[in-house]
Amino acid sequence: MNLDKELIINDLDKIFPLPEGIGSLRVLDKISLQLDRGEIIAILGPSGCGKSTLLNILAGFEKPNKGEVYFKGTPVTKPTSQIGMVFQSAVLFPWLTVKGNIAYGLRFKKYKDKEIDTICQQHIHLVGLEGFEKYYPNQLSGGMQQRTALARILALEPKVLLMDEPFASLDAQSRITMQQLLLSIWSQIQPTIIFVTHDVEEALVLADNVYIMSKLPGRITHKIKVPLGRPRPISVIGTAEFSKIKGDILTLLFS
Amino acid sequence: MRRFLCKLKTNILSKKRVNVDLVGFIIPLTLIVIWCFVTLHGRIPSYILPNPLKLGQIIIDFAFGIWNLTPYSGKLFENLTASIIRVLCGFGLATFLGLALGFLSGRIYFIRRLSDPFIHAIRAIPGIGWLPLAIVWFGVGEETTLFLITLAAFFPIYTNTAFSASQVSPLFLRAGRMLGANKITLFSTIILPATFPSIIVGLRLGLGISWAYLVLGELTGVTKGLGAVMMDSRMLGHVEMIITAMVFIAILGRITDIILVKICNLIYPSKEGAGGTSDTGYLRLGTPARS
Ligand SMILES: Nc1ncnc2c1ncn2[C@@H]1O[C@H](COP(=O)(O)OP(=O)(O)OP(=O)(O)O)[C@@H](O)[C@H]1O
Ligand SMILES: [Mg+2]
Repeated sequence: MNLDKELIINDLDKIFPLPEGIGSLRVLDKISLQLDRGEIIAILGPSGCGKSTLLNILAGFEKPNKGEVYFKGTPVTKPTSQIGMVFQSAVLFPWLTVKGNIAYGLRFKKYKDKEIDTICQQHIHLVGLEGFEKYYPNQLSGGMQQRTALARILALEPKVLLMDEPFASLDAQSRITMQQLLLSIWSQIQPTIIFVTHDVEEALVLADNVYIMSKLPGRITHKIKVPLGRPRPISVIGTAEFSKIKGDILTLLFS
Repeated sequence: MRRFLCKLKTNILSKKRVNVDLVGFIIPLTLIVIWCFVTLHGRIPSYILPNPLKLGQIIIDFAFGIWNLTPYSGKLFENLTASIIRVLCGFGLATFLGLALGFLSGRIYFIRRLSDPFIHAIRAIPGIGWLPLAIVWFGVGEETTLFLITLAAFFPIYTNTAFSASQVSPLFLRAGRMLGANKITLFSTIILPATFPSIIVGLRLGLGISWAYLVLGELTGVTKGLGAVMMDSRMLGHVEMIITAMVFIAILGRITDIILVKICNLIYPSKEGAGGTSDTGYLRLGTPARS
């Protein structure tokens, strides 16, 4: 096994029992992936093909029926703040303020109150939420909620970020803002990112490699290396190179 | 601790301006006028319904004992304390049992399967239906009262706790575990605050019911307590004392409810929409909806 890799996903199978109690549904079929440290990959696939299930296994929320996940060479069996998930809905705690949400995980670590304050402030600044520290989640827009969720997990300095269609519910403009924000954060701290999306453009703007999954049972059918340099400003979408590769991926998706 | 005390102080001192809706006074005032009219002009004899002025005097006399108008003159305090202690004991016990069992059955599926059918079967018996059996078991008076209060207040607390604990979003729990919470901190930082609004509803219902069953229990015969005052006054023909005791029970019920909400507010300050659905805080004073 290649121990230089940050994350190794080895031959995962996931089978869910059917709701009626008889039979079962194979959702993931021999999924194998390897990620370098600081790599960003995007996973594209039809709805219901097991993308969220895959992320849940990587985050340690669910157990695979077969196969294993190694993070820096050690198996992942339970949730850890080293591998952070950003859910499709922000899943902020409604009884805590923006700052309270960001401080939540820090309170379980051996930080002094002062240090927690400083780290919160840094991350509020990082995601551009200055002035909203005292807001409750339901007083925030969808984009601001996702920023808070991002800051909450980034404050714990995760090495891997799992992102399950985090910007899917945002309008086109905030989605692009969030993509650029994510890229700028990445350029500062270089986490390894697995980004699940339905949006081909989003995948191409963000990822080094795009993986395409098949319908159930979910398999990885294609790996496309994105030949675009970094930094990737939003204007990259207009280039001929971008259009060509987007066309290629769309053809693969609908073939 | 100092921060807590400061918070306590500001919380008690900060009297927000209350908007009083005058329309709410129309019906009570009209009733008082009618009441004055029918009692002062002798239509209704005072042994059925005393006139409001007399009643006012009796209430003051009950509290301060200045006029010696009834055998209960100046005896408010001792009766009041006896009743409050009973309510606090019964309600406290019900709170402890309701929360403990509620969380266990709300969070642990096996315990829910084990206990829920039994508890709901018991719940189907109206609280008052326990009175004869309680008297057989505990005799009249103190223990019967405590038993009835605890039994009746237990159900709303248990039901609200168990239901809301079982409804905590699994996504919150996942997020909490990912952010570093263990089993114990998951309970204190996620399950507890997520269920808190419903628990308060349960506690307030339970407290209201406690006062009802206090009176029922005290009617069976205790020496001191507002219920005892009512029962004895009936036998002595002091209808005005019955009404006086009712007035104090109403006042106490309201005050204890306000105090309960204040305490809850101190534990988890009310915040905009923290309940998830409404955009006004979840801890506003007012009667909770019956579930
Ligand atoms: N806990 C579960 N029990 C049984 N079946 C499940 C469970 N979770 C997911 N499934 C099934 O697994 C399949 C894949 O679900 P999953 O949520 O991973 O899809 P997805 O690729 O994320 O879809 P989408 O793009 O719509 O989010 C679905 O058919 C779903 O019904
Ligand atoms: Mg999904």
